[in-house]
Amino acid sequence: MTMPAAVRKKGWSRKQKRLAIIAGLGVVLALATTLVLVALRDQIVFFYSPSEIVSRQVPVGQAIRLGGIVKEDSWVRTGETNDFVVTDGARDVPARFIGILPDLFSEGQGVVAEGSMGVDGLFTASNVLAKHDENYMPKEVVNALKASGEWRPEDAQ
Amino acid sequence: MLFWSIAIAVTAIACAAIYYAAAGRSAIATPAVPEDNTGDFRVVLAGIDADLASGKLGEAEATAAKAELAREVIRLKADSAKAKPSNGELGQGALFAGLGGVAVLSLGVYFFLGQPNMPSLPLAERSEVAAQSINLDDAIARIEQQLAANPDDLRGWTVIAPAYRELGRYADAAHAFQRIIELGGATPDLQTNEAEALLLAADGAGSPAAMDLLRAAAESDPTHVLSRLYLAAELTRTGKYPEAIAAWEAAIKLSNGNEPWLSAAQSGLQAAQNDGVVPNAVDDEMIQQMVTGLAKRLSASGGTIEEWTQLVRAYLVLGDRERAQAAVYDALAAYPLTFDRGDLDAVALGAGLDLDGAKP
Amino acid sequence: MSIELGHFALILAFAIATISTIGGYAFWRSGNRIALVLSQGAILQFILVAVAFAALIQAFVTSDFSLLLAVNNSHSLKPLIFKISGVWGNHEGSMVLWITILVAFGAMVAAFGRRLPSDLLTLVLATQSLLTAAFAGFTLFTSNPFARVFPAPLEGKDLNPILQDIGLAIHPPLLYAGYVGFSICFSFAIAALISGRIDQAWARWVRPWTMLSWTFLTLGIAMGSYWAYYELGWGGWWFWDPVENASFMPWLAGTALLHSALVMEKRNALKIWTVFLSIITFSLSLLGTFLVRSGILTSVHTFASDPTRGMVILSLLALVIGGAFFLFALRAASLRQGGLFAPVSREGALILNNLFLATAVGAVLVGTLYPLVLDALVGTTISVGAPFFNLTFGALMAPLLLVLPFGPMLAWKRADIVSAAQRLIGAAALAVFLAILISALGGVSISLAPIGLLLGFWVAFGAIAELVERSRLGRIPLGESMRRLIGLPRTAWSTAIAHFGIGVTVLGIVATTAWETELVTTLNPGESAELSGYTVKFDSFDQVPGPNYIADEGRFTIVAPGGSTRKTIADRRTYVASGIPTTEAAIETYGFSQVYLQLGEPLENTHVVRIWHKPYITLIWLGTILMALAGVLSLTDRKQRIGAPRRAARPVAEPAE
Repeated sequence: MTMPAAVRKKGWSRKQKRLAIIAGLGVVLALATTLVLVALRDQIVFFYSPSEIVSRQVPVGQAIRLGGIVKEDSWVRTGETNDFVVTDGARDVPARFIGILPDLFSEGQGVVAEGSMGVDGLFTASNVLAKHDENYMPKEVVNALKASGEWRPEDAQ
Repeated sequence: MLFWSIAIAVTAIACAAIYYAAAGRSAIATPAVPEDNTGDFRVVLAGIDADLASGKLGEAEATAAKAELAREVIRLKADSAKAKPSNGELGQGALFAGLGGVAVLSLGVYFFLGQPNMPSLPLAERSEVAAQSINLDDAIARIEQQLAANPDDLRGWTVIAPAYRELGRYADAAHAFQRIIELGGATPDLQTNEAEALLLAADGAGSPAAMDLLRAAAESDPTHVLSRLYLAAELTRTGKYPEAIAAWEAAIKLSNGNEPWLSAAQSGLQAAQNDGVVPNAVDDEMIQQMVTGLAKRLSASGGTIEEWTQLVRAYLVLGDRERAQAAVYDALAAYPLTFDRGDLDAVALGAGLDLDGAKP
Repeated sequence: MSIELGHFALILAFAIATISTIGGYAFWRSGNRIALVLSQGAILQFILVAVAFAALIQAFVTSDFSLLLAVNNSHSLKPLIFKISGVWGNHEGSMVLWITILVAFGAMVAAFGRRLPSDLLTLVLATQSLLTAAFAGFTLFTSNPFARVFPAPLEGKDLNPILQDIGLAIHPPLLYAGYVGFSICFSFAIAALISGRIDQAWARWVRPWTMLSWTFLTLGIAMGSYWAYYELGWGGWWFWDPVENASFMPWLAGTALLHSALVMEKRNALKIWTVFLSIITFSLSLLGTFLVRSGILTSVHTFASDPTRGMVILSLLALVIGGAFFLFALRAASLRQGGLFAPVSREGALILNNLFLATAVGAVLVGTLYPLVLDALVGTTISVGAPFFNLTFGALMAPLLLVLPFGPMLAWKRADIVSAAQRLIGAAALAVFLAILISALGGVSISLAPIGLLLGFWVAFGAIAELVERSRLGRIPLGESMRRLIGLPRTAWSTAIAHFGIGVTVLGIVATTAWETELVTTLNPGESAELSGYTVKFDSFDQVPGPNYIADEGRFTIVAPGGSTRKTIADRRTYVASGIPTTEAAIETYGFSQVYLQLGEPLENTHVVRIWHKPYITLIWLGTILMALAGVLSLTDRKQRIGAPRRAARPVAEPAE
């Protein structure tokens, strides 16, 4: 709320005051809208199933979310490094996560991992999401599985 | 019928309360001061003066604000004078219609949604034994599943063995104790437990394997009492009196004079000496004395969980559920963790005693 | 029979609410009598719903498994406190809690509202009854908590260990009290729109309710955040998760409402905006409660989602919110605007505050709903994560924090910005000095940290500067200024404490974000690791049985840089009954900082341990507690109280003036 001193001292007419306020509001709103739009363009994260990763040629290094089911017998732990395979029944994507996986992470369960694809086709996860409920299947995963015909409702509940 | 009487009474009371409020006779809603809220404006006025005094408002601005406030009050007064009640006071007819609506709506909706004849069923008031034994069954089924997947789980066997015994599945109990011994090594206690289970499974027919186990237990620990007692009792039962006398005496020698089993052992010894004829049978009175002694000692100086369990069992044998329950609570207080409590939980649950709220 | 009586009580309350709504809107002009009837009705609704709620609690406590809700959400072996909290740890029960709080606020208006004009009181209570009728009806007809089972099972199903937490026992009631409290503001706004009377008195009546709800909401959010921090075991305290956003939006809007209602009460300006905000805030509260629950958005916090009833919920929301905005559109033009002021003035600063807060609400709303809209329109699944919110929210809050300390310094109507700036020079200098000093000492790991620190210190010192200024500290004898300080109105203290709390929270956020260190490593018993000067020694690992779980328990010794040692335990519990694993992180507090230890699942006798050092993280919650404290302080101010200032001194029957 800074304005030129000369203007301030003179005192403003009613109309000028109202105009100044409306103009101020407009400027802030316009800036905010721009900010939101720019952020939306740059900061959103797309969600892919393993099939989509293969078919869409997701660029290496782009932040994405990968969702599917942890393939049976694919989880290998070496020290703090976890390697596992995310599958949607049709395609598999190998993934690696360094750290401690959530309690509810297990083979045959749905998973959503944030991270990016590497040149070698390995998905490096920076974060693996879990949920309170042991019956939980992320909605995105359900949709992806439905799309690939792997969805069996009795698995979810 | 009772429910509907109460429901109708509650509805009637609620309607009456509203009716009396409408008559201005409610304690809660005294007549408001409807068209005069200049009090609030006075507070605003005082606020202007305070702001003026603290320099938060300029002189000219304060005067303008006061003028504005005055206009607001005048406008309000004019408005309220203008907008006299347009649709009259709330009439008796409308009031009764509303109250009738409340009654019809509430009773009607309940008629469709409610189950007036269904009683409450708090767990405490239900046939407890059924509830609890099913509980135990569930627990055992779960552990059995785990053991099927992992037969080398020592902890699983340790938990399940006494539970089997309490459920009367003596053969399973004996097998479970056998597994514990295989996995964790033999101790006199485990051997005795297995022998006990085998003997119970044999149902009075005796068991050579049990005798071997009891002998092994007695040999490995020269101070082990329970194995000797069982040994003596079995020998007495099978009529091997000289050996039985020796075993009874060996056990009695290990006592320090105030063990609860002492009197039983002495009468066993007498029976063996008397060629199997019990001179004066161990009657309830004697047990009673024994139990009283144990209870006194436990309440005074505490004891092991086995002793507590024994006390609970004894009360149950005597048919004194109240004391048994009290003993369970005392034991719970002394041993708050389930895993410390050994067979106590199984005994108590099996008998339908309460384990849940450890009230003093 | 108590369950069925509880059921009937809820239905009777629903009936009274329905008839009150109809009667209230039909007869609001007719004077005193309808107001009395509705007041009595509001109090009866409260008593009846409380009875229904008590009946549910009774059924849970006695493990009455003839109640479907208890079967699904309780277990006879749960500790008592979690049997009770189990009542609202699910959809149906939480609806009853929600309605209980709703009618409690309605009853409070009825009890304290004696001095309100009868037409306004009638309309407020009618609107409140409308909400009660709508949500009690929804509860009864689509998700009845009193549904029975026959034959009754012998044991309940639920022993979910994660929900058995003291944080989760008290957090929903607090949050709901916040959400639902804003219903009063909503009802007042609807009443103002219908009756056309909107003046400074109206703002005086609305403000305490706003303050009360805001205080509850602040505490509820802070507690939810701390719960997620220690219970989920990820070390994060805010995830920009839909549920968190849903509670945060009403908070932002409520904060804006607090400020705009102040302008309206003091200077008779911003009337329409305040009414609009009242509606928006409660609408966002409704969204917060129900959007997540409808199953449309998934979230880590969801514990009571029910997609099947989603459509009903959405229609109900559309009806309430849409109806309110329709009324607003219809009537807003006829409300009288008032109060003129210069752009540089207290009013101007508060408008700026409102502008930024409202825009922030918009940004958060867009981020939360955008994936939904995109999915519905294009079919692309995306997620809007923390980076979006950090960028937009941060960019909007920075200027707000920058101008915040000016606000209380400015005079109403027309202010002198230069003199305000002069009075803040001390605070600014101190903030700059400390920000530079700490950045230099701490090592700057992200480029925005010094700016964040600067803002945090600036806001905190700015809040103090206002107190210093008003007590004329340093310019008059110390004793005299102390007397002045104590004599300051509680509202002044409240403002200063709340703003100081914001500064403290900002500092905590910045410090944690910038200087948090983390180490994931393989660590076996006997080994130790070092992080930020703390040595963490892994003493032993054991499998330990708990009351109803088996724990993989790691015992650690932490040696602080100062040399003090502490023993702590991090464990992973597997609950026997359900087989659900949970992580219990070890959290040790050093001053304002914390060391947070998480133990991974053991694999062939190797253990992965994750260690965080979180500098000054407790400041985040400390700041929110200060804010809530400020809210309480403001509520105890005599002038803020509902009714006239001298009511307490005068008998009620006597005319006020």
